[in-house]
Amino acid sequence: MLAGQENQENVPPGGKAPPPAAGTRVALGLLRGAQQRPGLPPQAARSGGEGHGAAAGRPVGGQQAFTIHVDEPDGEQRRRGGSATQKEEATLGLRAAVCALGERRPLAPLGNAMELSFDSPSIMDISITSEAEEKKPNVNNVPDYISDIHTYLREMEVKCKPKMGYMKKQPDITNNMRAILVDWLVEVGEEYKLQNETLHLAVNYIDRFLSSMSVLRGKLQLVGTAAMLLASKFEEIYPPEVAEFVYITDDTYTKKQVLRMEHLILKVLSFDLAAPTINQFLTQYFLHQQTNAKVESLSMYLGELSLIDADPYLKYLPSVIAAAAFHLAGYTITGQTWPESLCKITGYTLEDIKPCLMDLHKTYLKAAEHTQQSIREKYKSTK
Amino acid sequence: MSRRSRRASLSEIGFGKMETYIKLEKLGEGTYATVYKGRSKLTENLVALKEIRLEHEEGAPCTAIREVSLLKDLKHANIVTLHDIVHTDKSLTLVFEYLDKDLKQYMDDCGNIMSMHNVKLFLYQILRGLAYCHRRKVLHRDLKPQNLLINEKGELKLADFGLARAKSVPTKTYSNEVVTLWYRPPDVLLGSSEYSTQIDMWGVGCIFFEMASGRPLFPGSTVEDELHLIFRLLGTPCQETWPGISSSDEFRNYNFPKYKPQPLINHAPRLDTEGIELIAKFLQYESKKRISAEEAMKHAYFRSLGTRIHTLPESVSIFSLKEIQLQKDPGFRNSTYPETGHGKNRRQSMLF
Repeated sequence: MLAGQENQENVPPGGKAPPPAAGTRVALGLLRGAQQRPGLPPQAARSGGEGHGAAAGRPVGGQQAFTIHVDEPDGEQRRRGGSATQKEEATLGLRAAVCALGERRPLAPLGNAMELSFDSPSIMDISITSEAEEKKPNVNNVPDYISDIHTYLREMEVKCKPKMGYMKKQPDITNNMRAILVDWLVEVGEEYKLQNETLHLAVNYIDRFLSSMSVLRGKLQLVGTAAMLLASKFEEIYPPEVAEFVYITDDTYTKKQVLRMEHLILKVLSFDLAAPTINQFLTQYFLHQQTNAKVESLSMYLGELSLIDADPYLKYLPSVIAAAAFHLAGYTITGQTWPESLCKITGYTLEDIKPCLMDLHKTYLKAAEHTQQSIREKYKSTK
Repeated sequence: MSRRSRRASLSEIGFGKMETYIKLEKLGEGTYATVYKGRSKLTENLVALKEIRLEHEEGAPCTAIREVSLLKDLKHANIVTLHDIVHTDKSLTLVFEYLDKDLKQYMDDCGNIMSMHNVKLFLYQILRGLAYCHRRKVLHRDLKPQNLLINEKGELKLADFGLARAKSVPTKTYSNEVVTLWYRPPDVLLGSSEYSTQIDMWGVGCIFFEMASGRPLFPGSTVEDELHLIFRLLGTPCQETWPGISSSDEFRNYNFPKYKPQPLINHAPRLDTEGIELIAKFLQYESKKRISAEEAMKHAYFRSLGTRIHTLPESVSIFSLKEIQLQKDPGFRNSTYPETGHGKNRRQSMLF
């Protein structure tokens, strides 16, 4: 599962041609026809075809499948440090960068990813309505607790942060495989109409699990599936049943394996599932700084794009990625930069978020060429 | 020490293992768990063991996952402490500190005539625990006297966070017991699934009234009955008193008679003016108009408790201040015989 040769992994499931514009469902539709299994995700189908199902026959879930890293201090440098001396230069550089963001705006991906989605109320179901639903009462609630909540989320995001370099210690899996896994989870989320928050949580669980457990490639999808199951149980009103999660892996794993992995993840994460996410920070930023639906949707899209690539995004905190996404979306659509109000609440200046902003801008520009396309499909799909 | 080796050493001490706990008598059954009184072999302290069966079909239940992950982060003098988690293939046991009574039993034990000073101390502690939760984006959603635990010092702690995130509140337990509607706000009764911190504040008002008057405020048996009782006392809402209500289909379909609001003081004569004023701030139809827990703690009703109570660190009990003392409840009779049928029944709903 997810275990093809590395060089094969970048081949989109549908062959060399980019997925047809009509969206993910077409790709799934083709597979459906081929496999007689509606909703079967490409990766599941593919690896089934490649005979990696053998992994399923290995001893179940038990500890022997996982070797344990010795915990080491993360060694991550404070990202924001060290820039003080070059402040002036950085500011200039930043100005140049910000200008560039506006000028080199990629029309094609933007048009695809964004405009279509606004014509289609159905896509709002997933990205907008759900937010609006939670936001309405929150808006009324602003004066009471919003700044306390922000402080608390900032404290918790540090506690729930995966180790950024964990992939180097993983003997059998790579960032590419992780990208394929996350891309597949985006599709799973679409298939079952899950909240964006569920996806963000699942990715956090996966990264934290992989920060301390070494996992064989044949089990990576099992980790992803169980993480998504847990995130659904935590976040969704009606989480899909375990059987559904078994089904979406094309029965690569048994129910028992999924439940054992759920158990193991709970243990490794010691039940700390209430992790702050990019999605939660964006929701907060929208409360503090009124903006329009386009900016909100583009921010969510950018935030989600960052989930795919562990390098560079694992080194940034969710609040920073959310800030970069907010700024980039605002700047692209309305020409507005990171507002003073948010600077005050978050303590982040534009300069602080600059490194992340540059990365996110790059990702945004290249989104159309990225091997993983589910998020673009999700945000432009007309369903 | 690394996290992993720390975990290993904790396990050697006995944390995370069922052998560490002796199960004593059963305290009750609830929506998704059985609660036992127990004793920890490590500390010799009494504990409450909340045992959640893991259905083989679905793994760990949502309620347990939410309760544990949320409660683990809540460390406060007015929130029940989760000491340990024992997770096996068959069950998930949450080990809580043990408190002798819940508020319902406490009220029964004093013949439903509580000292008005103690009412104030209990209300303050409810608000204190709740404000802490709300600052952390955690809603309780199921406040009721049975979920408020009290020890012999008068310390009150919020318990049962199983519904802390669920959007739809269940109406029946697995044992088919009806979940009480008495503390549920009218917007939720009318089907609103919007949630924010104010959802908890209605129930606080109901509990406040119940402590002060000795009887539940709105003891409805069905959703309609519950709404009917609310409207009969507070007046049937209209567009002016509850903007947006006239467009609610649920509300219109019930077609309630148009009651006029009645003065609350007639129903809780022992409550002073400030108390009446505060209770009215909890019992607002529009959720956004309800006073927040944070704000309520600053209300004039609590002025007599002094100022030091507002600056206590989170983990410190209000009884650490010498000016804060529990008074003898007028109707108190010692119930040292929990075996008597009555007392036992009262325990049935503890911790759920």
